[in-house]
Amino acid sequence: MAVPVIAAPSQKASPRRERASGIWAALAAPGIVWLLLCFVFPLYVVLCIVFGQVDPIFRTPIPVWNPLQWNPSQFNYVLTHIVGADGIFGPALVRTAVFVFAASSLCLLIAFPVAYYVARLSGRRKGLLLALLIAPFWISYMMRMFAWVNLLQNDGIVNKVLSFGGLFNVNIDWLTGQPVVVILGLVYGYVPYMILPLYAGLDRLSQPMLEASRDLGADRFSSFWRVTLPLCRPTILAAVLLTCLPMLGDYFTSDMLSASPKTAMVGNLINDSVHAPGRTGQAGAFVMLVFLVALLPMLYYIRATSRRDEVAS
Amino acid sequence: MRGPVAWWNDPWRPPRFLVGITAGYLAWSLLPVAIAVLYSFNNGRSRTTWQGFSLRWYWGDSTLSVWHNDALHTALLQTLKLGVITTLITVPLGVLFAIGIDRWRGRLPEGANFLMLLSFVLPEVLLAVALLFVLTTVALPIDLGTTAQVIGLITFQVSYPAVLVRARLATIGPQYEEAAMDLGASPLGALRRIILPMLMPAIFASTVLVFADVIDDFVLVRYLSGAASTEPVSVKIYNTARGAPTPALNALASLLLLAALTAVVIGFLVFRYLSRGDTTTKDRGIGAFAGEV
Amino acid sequence: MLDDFHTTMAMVLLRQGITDINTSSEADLKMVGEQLSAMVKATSPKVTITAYNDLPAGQLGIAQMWSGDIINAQNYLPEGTGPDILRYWFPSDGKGMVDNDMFVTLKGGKNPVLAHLFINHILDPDVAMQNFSAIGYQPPQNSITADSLVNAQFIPENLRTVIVKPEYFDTGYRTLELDAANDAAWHNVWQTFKAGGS
Repeated sequence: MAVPVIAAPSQKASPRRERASGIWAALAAPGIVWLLLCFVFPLYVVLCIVFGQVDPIFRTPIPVWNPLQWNPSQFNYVLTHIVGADGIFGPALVRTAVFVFAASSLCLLIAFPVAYYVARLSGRRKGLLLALLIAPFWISYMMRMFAWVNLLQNDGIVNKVLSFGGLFNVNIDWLTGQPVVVILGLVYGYVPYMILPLYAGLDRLSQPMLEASRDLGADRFSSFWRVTLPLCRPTILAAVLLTCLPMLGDYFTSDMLSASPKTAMVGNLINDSVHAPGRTGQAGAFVMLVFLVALLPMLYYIRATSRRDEVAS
Repeated sequence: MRGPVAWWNDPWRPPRFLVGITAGYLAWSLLPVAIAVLYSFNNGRSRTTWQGFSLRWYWGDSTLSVWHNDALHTALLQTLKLGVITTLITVPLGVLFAIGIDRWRGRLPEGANFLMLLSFVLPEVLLAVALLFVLTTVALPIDLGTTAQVIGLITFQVSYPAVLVRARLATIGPQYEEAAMDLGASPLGALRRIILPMLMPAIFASTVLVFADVIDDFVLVRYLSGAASTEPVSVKIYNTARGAPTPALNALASLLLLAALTAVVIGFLVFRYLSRGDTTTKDRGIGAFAGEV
Repeated sequence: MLDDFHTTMAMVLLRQGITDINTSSEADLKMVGEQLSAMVKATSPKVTITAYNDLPAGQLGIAQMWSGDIINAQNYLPEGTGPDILRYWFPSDGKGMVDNDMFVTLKGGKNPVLAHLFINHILDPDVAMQNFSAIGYQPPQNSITADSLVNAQFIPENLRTVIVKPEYFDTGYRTLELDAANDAAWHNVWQTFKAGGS
């Protein structure tokens, strides 16, 4: 998906528009109702299931709708099994944090130079390069991962290249429980999501300001470090959020590229327990945890950017 | 075109390593897919050893090719069905939402805006699991299947046209509407006759992008799918990649890529046509199309 | 390893000499959990159900498989490779894990006669062989023996051990359904394993 840039609407509101605010409310109503019904309500249902009961015979979840009757035992089970002697979920959560951090950092390291080059330095070829950068969005994520499964197989091209056509005997199983492969898979999948907001933000950097810094004597590197980077901090923040948060729920990359418990992420925990009898509440608890972890940066971001004149979102 | 030596010695050229990184990134990004598409034309069953060129996996092979394999047909049809239905509902919903939120002042629209942005960045699996819970525990007349998938996709995608249209509205500014209302139009009339036509490029762009995004969606449609006939192509690729992949899978994915590409190219051309007099998008080309203004 | 909690954990129990593969003993289950972690550390296995495709394709060297999987695997061999590269091991004294699927006519079903005739149809030897070829799991016909199949070139000589003999059901160990509490305990161990934890 491409990510646009929003400029905050002008602050002066004409009085005529204020009087007609009922119309705007009516226009927005279907969307608001839909979001409430299909976004907020399901999240409430998750809470009701996490704090609900489990049918003793079929081990299916029974949601409890009244918050006063909520039973925290399933949630407590998950919480108490994160660290300590019973800490069975801890490693997966830590692993998720490590993978997402590593993958996001790598994404940033790759995406920033590319976005910078295409946004500011590519001249005539900008349109073509931008089209090539957007292309991955229209290729199914599954197909891109699938292409890598193909390449990384024991008799695939990667091993063939590494063995220099038969000179060395490369005995590496890329597709079995290699964290590096999963991290690189995440990077490969999500780096397009980072390039576009970076491109959008870097595109709007004012060239005169950068030229001024060079005119005042800073060399290329110093000018980049002290002028360009601080100016695009909100852009970088937005881009990182946009890449990091969806990555938290990823489970299919690990499934396709590894299929091993050694690389299980929190998404795999959710995926494995949703359909397992008696564990649906635990799946809901993980969903809640990931939601909280995703919510806080979003809140901070909204607060931080609402004070600015230009919002890069 | 200067020669490579002249390019190397040019003092105004961009830093070498930036060009190198960009070229390297593009190759790394697109080559695996190019190879996958190439192997869809493979003559043999292998997806790693080239055995000659043939169209066997597209329509030649009488049982396994995309043309002859009913399961792959169903997947393709399901994908297109989901794409069309979702887009038809999502775009008007998102556009109206954006227009309403943009003009309405107050805490409620701010909250709605936050909710919409949240639905944009949340991991898809959270929404998928939540909707699965709703459909399996709350007594609704909706079962897992196409309807459920459409509902989930709309919820996930509605923020897309909303954000694009808001961006465009911010660029347009209030002056056209105010001029229209000075001349006697009602707010709704100004909206219908002035703003909506100006929003057409953004609306069209978001239509195409939502469509391209929906046909590639995986997590939501997998959790909310019912019978095997409601599994779209992305789920088929995932299931079969772990089972017995033949190059027919590559062929299927290539066909889907072609569909998405066609949709986007057509959309871009229409976008160019619709915004041919528009100074704000004149020089932006594909960037404007994707939403950067 | 097979991505199936009961089969895989039962295999660990059998390896340690514990023959009650539906056990509810806490100590046994704890041991299984430890052994599974040790296996991950030692061999870094893939946990899938697709060995029937990966093994013949050369992506796996050795895999835990159901007998039907290896029969199916013959169909997934790359072109130019014969089934003589495949091997299957099952304890020769028949003391291994056995399991079966069932056809059931429901007592309250709407078409009991039709169901009965359907089962008869499936039990017809020719139809059973067709079924066998399609899904790989062996039908219960007495006429289907390792000799008859090797002679009919349905399986190669080196896959003789795949064929299930009726005696296995007497000497072997059955995986049975576990009661709710036991099932939860088993799943706890399995979940720990799959989460890559402790």
